[in-house]
Amino acid sequence: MRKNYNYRESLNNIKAGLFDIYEEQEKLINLETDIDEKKSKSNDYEKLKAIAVTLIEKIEKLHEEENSLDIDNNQDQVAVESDYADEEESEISIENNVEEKNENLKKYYLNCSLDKVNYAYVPESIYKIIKKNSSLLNDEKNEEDFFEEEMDEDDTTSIDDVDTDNNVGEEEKDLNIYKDDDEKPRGIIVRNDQYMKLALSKHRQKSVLEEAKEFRKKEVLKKQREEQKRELEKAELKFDI
Amino acid sequence: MDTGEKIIVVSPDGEENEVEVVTYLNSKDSMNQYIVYTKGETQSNGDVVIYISKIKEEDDVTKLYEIVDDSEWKDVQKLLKEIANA
Repeated sequence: MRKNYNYRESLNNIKAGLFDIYEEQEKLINLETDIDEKKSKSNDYEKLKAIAVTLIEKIEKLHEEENSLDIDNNQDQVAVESDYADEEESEISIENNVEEKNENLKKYYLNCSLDKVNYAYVPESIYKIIKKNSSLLNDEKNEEDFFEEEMDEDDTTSIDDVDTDNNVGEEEKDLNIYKDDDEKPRGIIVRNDQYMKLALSKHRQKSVLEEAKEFRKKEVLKKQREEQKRELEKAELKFDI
Repeated sequence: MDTGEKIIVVSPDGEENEVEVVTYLNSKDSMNQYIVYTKGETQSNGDVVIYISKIKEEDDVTKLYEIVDDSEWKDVQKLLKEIANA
């Protein structure tokens, strides 16, 4: 059936037309004088009326069914839309939860392409140890910050014998890669390549300077005396003393 | 795998990936800081794939840089070994 077709109006027009036909036929039947003829026409008329009524009822039923189908479709559409809205709401709420969760996470922005990020393959056992020790170190660091202890610079461990290959994945847990520098340098370190003399202590420098000062004084006095002596000798010669 | 600190790594094209932090590393001179993280990837032999980047704070934005210097990369490996042997 075509949509947007006014079946109600068509039905009314059909009924009106049939009503006119009924009136016309009834007049004709009433005008029939022959009783048998009249009875026959009357029977035919009744049959035609029954057929017409049946057709009209069928049309009405179809029309009603179409209307009810539209209503059902609308209701289904409403139901589908409400379900979709519910799904959207749930998705939005999930997304919001994820976004809220992500908003709480700190973002680090990669400044290179993904294929240039440094990576390494680590055996799972080593990976677990690194994670465990990292958490322990973090706990220790928090304790150190609490007590405000300063690290001794001489306590740096030596890593001279550390394996320098590029594969982090080697299991070196059992290797003693550290040696504590127990024999700390004593005295003054002299660099042979620079031929530096041993630095004098401040005390020694002070005494040397005083000695030098004293020596200079004596030298100056000595020169002054010698000069005076020469002057006197000149004066004696001059006056023939 | 234990669940540790989670962060978001944003790639240059804007894609965001949630990753798990393995550890942070500080260079001996405390001039450089590095982050070690994992995306939960494992090799067929069971090895865990970890990613290491240098951290730099620029204009209140934390950026991750690749380590291009060989000696610096070796130093980072040593730092990791330190933790593994702690």
